[in-house]
Amino acid sequence: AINRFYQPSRRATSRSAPTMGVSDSKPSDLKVNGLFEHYKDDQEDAILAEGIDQFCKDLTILPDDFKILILAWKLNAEQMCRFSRAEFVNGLKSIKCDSIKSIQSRLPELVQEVEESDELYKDLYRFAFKFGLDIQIGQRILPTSMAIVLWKLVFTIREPPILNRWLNFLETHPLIRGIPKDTWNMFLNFSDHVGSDLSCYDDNEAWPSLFDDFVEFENDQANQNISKDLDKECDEFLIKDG
Amino acid sequence: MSLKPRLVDFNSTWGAIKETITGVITLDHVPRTVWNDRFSDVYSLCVAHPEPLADRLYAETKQYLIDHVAHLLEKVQADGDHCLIKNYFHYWSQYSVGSQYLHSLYLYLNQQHIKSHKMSDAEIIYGNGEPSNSSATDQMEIGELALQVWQTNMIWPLGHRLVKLLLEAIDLDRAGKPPAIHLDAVRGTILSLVEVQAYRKKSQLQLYAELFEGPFLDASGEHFKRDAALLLQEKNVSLYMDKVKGKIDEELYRARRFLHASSLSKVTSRCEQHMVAEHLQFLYSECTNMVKYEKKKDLANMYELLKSVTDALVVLVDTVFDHIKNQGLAAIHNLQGDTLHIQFVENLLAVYKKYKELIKEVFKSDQNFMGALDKACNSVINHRPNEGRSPCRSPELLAKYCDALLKKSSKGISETEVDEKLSESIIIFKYIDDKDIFQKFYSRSLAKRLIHQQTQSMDAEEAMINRLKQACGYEFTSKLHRMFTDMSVSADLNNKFQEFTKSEEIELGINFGIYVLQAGAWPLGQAVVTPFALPQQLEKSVQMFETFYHNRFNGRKLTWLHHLCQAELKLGYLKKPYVVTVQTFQMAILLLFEKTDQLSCKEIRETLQLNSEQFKRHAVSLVDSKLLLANAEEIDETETVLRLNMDYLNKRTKFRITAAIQKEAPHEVEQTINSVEEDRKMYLQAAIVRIMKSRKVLKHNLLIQEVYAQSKVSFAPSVPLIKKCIESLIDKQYIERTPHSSEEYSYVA
Repeated sequence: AINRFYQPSRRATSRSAPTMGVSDSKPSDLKVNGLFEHYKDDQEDAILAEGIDQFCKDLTILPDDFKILILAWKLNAEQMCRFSRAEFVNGLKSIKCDSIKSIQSRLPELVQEVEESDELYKDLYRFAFKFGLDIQIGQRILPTSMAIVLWKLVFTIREPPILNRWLNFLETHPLIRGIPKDTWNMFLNFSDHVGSDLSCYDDNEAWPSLFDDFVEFENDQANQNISKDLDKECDEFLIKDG
Repeated sequence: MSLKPRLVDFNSTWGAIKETITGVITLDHVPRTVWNDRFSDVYSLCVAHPEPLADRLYAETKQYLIDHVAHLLEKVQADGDHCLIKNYFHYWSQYSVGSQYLHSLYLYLNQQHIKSHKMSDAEIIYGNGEPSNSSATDQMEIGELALQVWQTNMIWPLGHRLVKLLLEAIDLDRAGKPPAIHLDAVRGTILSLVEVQAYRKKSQLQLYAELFEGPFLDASGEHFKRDAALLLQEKNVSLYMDKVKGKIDEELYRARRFLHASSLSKVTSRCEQHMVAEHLQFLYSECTNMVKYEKKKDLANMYELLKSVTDALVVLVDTVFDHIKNQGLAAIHNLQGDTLHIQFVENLLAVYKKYKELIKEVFKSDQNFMGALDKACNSVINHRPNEGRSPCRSPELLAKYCDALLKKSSKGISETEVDEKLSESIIIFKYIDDKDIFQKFYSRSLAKRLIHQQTQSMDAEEAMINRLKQACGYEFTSKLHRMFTDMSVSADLNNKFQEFTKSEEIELGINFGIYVLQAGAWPLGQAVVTPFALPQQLEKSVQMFETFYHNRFNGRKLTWLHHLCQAELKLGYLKKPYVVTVQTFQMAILLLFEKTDQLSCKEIRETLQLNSEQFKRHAVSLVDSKLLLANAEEIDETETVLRLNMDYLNKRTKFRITAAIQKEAPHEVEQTINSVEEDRKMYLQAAIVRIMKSRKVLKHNLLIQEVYAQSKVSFAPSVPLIKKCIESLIDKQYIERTPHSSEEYSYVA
C-alpha cells in the first residue's frame, strides 16, 4: 500500500512530494526509504542512471548541476550514476531531508556552507576525484577528459583565476595520460599559491611535475606572444612600405 | 766579612757604589775586588740595621741613571744630525751592555728586595693580588730600570729625529747610493727600539711598531706607489710582473738587513698591496693572451703575485678553465673514422695530461687550478653536441676503447702498455656523469668477448673491473663479476657433463661445450632468440645436457642462445681436409649437405625454420666464402639453388667464416640508452623508498638532495626525473604527503 502511495504517476509525485516535505525537522525513515524505492532500479537495490535522471527532473535541477555534485558528496556516493540504498537513506537523513521539497530547499544552504568554509570545500574537492573514478574497471587515475569536466564542475564556486589556462593546457596536450590523485589534490594548493601570476612558481618545490610542464608551457606561450607581436609589427611595416 | 745586619753609613757607602757604577755603566775597568766589595755593599745596605736602606739605594741609583742618560743625550746631540745615529748607536751599545752588568751588581737588591714585593706571575694572571700601595711595587729590577730610564730620557726626546734620519738612510739604500751612515748603526738603532722593551712581559714590540715601523711602512708604501706608477708607463704586463717580483725580493732582503723579523711579512704585503692589488685590471688585461699562448714564465709570475691578494686568483682560474675547456672540446671535435673511439680517448687524455703538468709546473698544483682542470674535463667529457640536443657519446666511446684494448685483436702493443692505457682510461671514466651508460656498453662488449673467446687476458679483464670497482663501488661491477663467475662455473659444469656422459655410457658423436649464463647478469636480450630447428646431429647433445642440468638444478629454465654459438666442422669431401669454424646457423646449413650436394633455399629454410633475415645473412656468408655456390648473383630466399663447391681451395687448412659482421646498429645504441633510462627510474625509486623507509618523514628538498647524493656514483639524475619517481611512488602509495604540509613526505609502511 505504501508503495502504491509513493508510486503514482510522475506528475503526481512532483505534486505530492512537496506536501510530504512540509512535515517537520526529523526526517522519517519511512519517507526516505519510500523516496528511494520510488527511483530505485527494477533489478538492483540502487538508484541508477535512469532513476537519477528522474530524480533530477523532479528536483528541477540538471544532472550536471553543481548542486548534484554537492548532493552526491553529502550522500558520500561511491561512484557516479549510482546511489546505493545505504548511501541514499543515510545521506538524506544526515542532511535532514526526506522529500523532494526539503532537498530542494536544503541544497542552496549546503552550497552556501561550502562556499564559506575552506575545510568543507577541500573535502568536496577531494571527493570529486574519487567520485569521478570508474571503480568498476579499477581506475586509479582520472582520464584527462573526465578530470576537465570535474574541474569545471567543482569550480562552479570559488573558481581560481588560473583555471581556464590550466584546462586549455590539458585540452591541447593529448599525451597527458591522466590525472593521478596527488596531482588532483595538489591543484587546489597550486591554484591557491599562484593566483593569476605564475612568476612566483618555483619548480624546486614539491609540486607534481605536471605543474612544471604547465608553467613551462605557459611561459613559452608568453614568450611566443611577444615574438608574435613583434612579427605583427614587422608585417605592418612591410604593408605600409609596400 | 759578616752577613749579619749591621749599622751602615749610607752616604759613605753610596759614594763608593756610585763611583763604581759609573765605571760599570761606561764599561770602564772595574777590578774584581772592587766589584766584590760593592756587591757586598749593596747587600749590607739592603739588610742594614736598624732599618734596611734598600729603598733609598734604589732611589739614589735611579737618580744616578737619569743624570747619566741626560748627560749622554747631550753627547749624542753634540755633533749635529749627521752624526746623531752614529753617536746614538755608540752610546746605546755601551749603555745596554753596561746596564746588564749593573743588573748583576745589584743582584741582591733585585732578588730579595724587589722580587719579594712584586706580585708573582700567578697573581698577575689570576688577579687575586691586592694592589699594594707600598712604593716598592713600583720598583723595577735594576736592568729594567736602566732600560726604562733610557727610553724615557733618551728615546722620547730624540725619537722622531732619529726615525727621520733612519728613513733617509733606508731611502738612500733603496736608491742604491752609498750609505752615509754605517749600516750596523742603522740596524742597531732600529733594533734598540725593540731591545729597550725586551724586559716587558707583553707587547715588547709596541715602541718599535709605533715609533718606527708605522712611519716606515707608510713611507715604503708611498715609495711602492711611485715605483708602480713608473713601471706602469712601460705598459708591459710581463715586464711589470718581473720587476715587481724583483722588487719584492729586494725589499725582503732589505727588511732582513735592517728590521725586526716581525716586519718582513708586513713589508711584502704593503708591496703587494700597492704594486699588485691596486693594479689588478692592468694585470688581468694580458691574462687571456698569456693563458691562450701558454706563456709559462708569465703565468708563473702572475700566479705568484695574485696568490697573495685575496680573491685575485679567480679571474686567472676562470681563464684557465675556459682555455682547457676549449682545448678539450677542440680535441674531440669532428672526429671521424673507425678509430674514432681511440682518438677520442687519447686526445682527451693528452689534453688532461698536458694541463695537469702545466698546472703542476706553473701553478704549483694549486687546488684552485686543479679544481678548474676537473671542472673543465667534466664539462668537456659530458658535453652534449648540438647545443645539448644530441646525447653525450663519451660513455659509449670509452667503453669501445676499453673493448679494443681487451680484445685479442689488439696486436702490436705489449701487455704492460695495454695495462697502462686501461688504467689511464679510468681518468676519463671518473669524469663521466652517466657511468651507468658506460656500464651498459661495457658489459655488452665484455659479454661478447667472453662468449666468443676474444679475451686477450683474463688478468687484464679482472684488473680493469677492479679499477671500476675502486672508482664506483661494489654494486657498480657486481654484474660484471657475475659474468666472470658464470664463465668459471661453466667450465666446471662442462667437466661434470663429460663425466656424466662417460658414466652413463652415452655417445654424443660430437664434442660439446656450453656456457650457462644467468639471465640477469648478462646483457643478452631473449627477444633476439629466433626460431631454429636443431640439426639432428646436435639434438642428442642438447637433450642430454638438459637432462643432466635439470637433474642437478631442478626448476631452472634453460634458454638456448644459438645465435651466439659456434662450431667447428671438418670438411672431408675436398682434396684436402679442412677444419672450419662457423656459427651455429652456418653449421646447420652446411650439415644439410651431408646427404646431398644441392639444395634449394626454400628447402633449407623449411628444414631449419630460420627467419628470412637470419637465413639470408648466413647463406650469403657461405656463398661469399665460396664453400657454397649459388645459381644466381642475388640470393633469393626461395628460388635460388645452392650447391656444394667440390673444387674449394684454401691455402689454410684451418679457418673461420665470419658471418656478415653484425655492426652495432644505431638503434642498438639507442636501445641501450633507453634501457638505461628505465633502469634509472627503478634505481631512483628504490633509492627514494630506502631513504623514506629509514627517515620516515622528510622534506621535499632534502629528499631530492639525498637521492642525488646516492645516485651520483653512477649517474647524475635530473630533478624532474626524481620528481616523477616521487610522484609515481605517491601513486603506488609507498609514500604520501604529510597531512600538514605538502612540502613533506612520509613513508607508508
